Amino acid sequence: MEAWGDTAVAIDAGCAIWRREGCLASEMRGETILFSLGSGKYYNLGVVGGRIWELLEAPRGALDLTDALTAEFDVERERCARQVDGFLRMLLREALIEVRPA
Amino acid sequence: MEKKQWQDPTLETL
Repeated sequence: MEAWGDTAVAIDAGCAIWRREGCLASEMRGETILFSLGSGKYYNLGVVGGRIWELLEAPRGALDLTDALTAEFDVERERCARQVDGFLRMLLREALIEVRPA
Repeated sequence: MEKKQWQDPTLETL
C-alpha cells in the first residue's frame, strides 16, 4: 500500500512510521538539530525528539516507540504515548516522516 | 540501569 507523507492522515496504532529521506541530523549539546533539504528549514528536536528520530531510522509503530522510550526514560507510559503521538503529528505536518497504514 | 530524565518532545522551527 502506498505510504502517506502529507498531513491528511491519522497516525493509528498499527501504522508503520519512518523518517522521510532528505533530512540531515546533527547533535548539539545533546539535542538533535535537523535540516530539511526539501524545505530549507532547520528544526530543534530536543533530547527526546532526537531519540525518537533515531528510532525512526527503520519503520516502527507508535506503540513500539513508546515501549522503547519508557524503557529508557523516566516517564509514565500514558504520558509517553500521548506525547509521542503529538510529536509524530508535528513531524508529519512538516513532512519529515512517512506513514504507512496498517 | 538508571533511566534518563524525560522532557516532552517538541519540534522547534529555527
